[in-house]
Amino acid sequence: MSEHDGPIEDYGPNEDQGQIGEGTEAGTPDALRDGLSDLFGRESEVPGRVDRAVARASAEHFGAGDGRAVTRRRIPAWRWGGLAAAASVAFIGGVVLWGPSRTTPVLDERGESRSVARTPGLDPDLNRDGSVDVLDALILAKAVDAGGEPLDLTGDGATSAADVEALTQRIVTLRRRG
Amino acid sequence: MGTAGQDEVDRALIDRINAGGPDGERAFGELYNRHKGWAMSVARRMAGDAGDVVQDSFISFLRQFPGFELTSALRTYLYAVIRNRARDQRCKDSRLRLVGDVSDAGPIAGGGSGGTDRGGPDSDGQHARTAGLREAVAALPEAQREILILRIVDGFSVRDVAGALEIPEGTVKSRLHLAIKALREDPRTREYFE
Repeated sequence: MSEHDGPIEDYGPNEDQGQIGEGTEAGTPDALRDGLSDLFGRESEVPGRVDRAVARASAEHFGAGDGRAVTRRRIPAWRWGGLAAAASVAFIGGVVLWGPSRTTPVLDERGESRSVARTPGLDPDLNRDGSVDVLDALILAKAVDAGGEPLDLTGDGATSAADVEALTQRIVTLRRRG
Repeated sequence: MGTAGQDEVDRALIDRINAGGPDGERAFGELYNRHKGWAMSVARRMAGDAGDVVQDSFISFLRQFPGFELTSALRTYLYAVIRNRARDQRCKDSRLRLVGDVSDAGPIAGGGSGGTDRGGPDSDGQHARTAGLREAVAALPEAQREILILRIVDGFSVRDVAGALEIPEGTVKSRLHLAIKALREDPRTREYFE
């Protein structure tokens, strides 16, 4: 069966069931509609683990546990020293792991390898469609060309070709993993 | 798809989620409960582990807040997210099969969206009839099948289908036309048109 991608006006009304489009379902037999709904339209039960995972993510996102107000507890003064030490270790670890000195290799326009900062900036899913792909790269490339909206993905403080390269590299890496 | 009233409810919930805080969290829970069953049935048409797809999709959706702006019906947006997540899952796990492959027991071919054989006095005849419809739908090209189900089962408008799949409305209409024509001519589904 060949497939036509042109507008429906090119084909005219369907002799059997009238104009296709918004009115299509009017020409669809109820039996077929019911049969399809029986097969594909029933809402499915969501596993409890999914409910729990989404609830947990929501609680973390909104930062209020299970939606209850967060109650503050007094911390004994003697514990402040330990907390300060732990915070220092965490900070140093964070700098080591995620600091701007960490780089990732990308290929420049001449095919030569060079490094760009790896520190994550913006969410690379720029069009918010749930997937990081070439459409996001296009949006970023346009932003770089236009010099408008700052979209600093690499965290180097500038919206530049390095951001496009880093994003493209990520897309390619994702595809290779797939 | 959703009526105007349902869309209004979704928009009100999104406003509350954007406002954040405990009430935002509660609103997100309400929104999740409103759409999770539908999302699960959609994911089952596309992927082996529908639960993972639904989970990833809603968490991805959650991360759009605050600042999320709804420019279409919510399910149009969610469908696109679920579709992308299902595609990612298929890429990651080669064991999962594409729904377009009729030869395997893929999600659609397996009637994954929920029990269809509920028994009863006419169980055998009903079973054969349902099996025929399932096979005929599974035999459609994936692009036609997806539009058929979105339009007839999920009740998406042509515009919403076009938006969810990022294709022109004319393409939606022509593929829908071809899908229904194929079912009309298929001996396994002829009785649905009598």
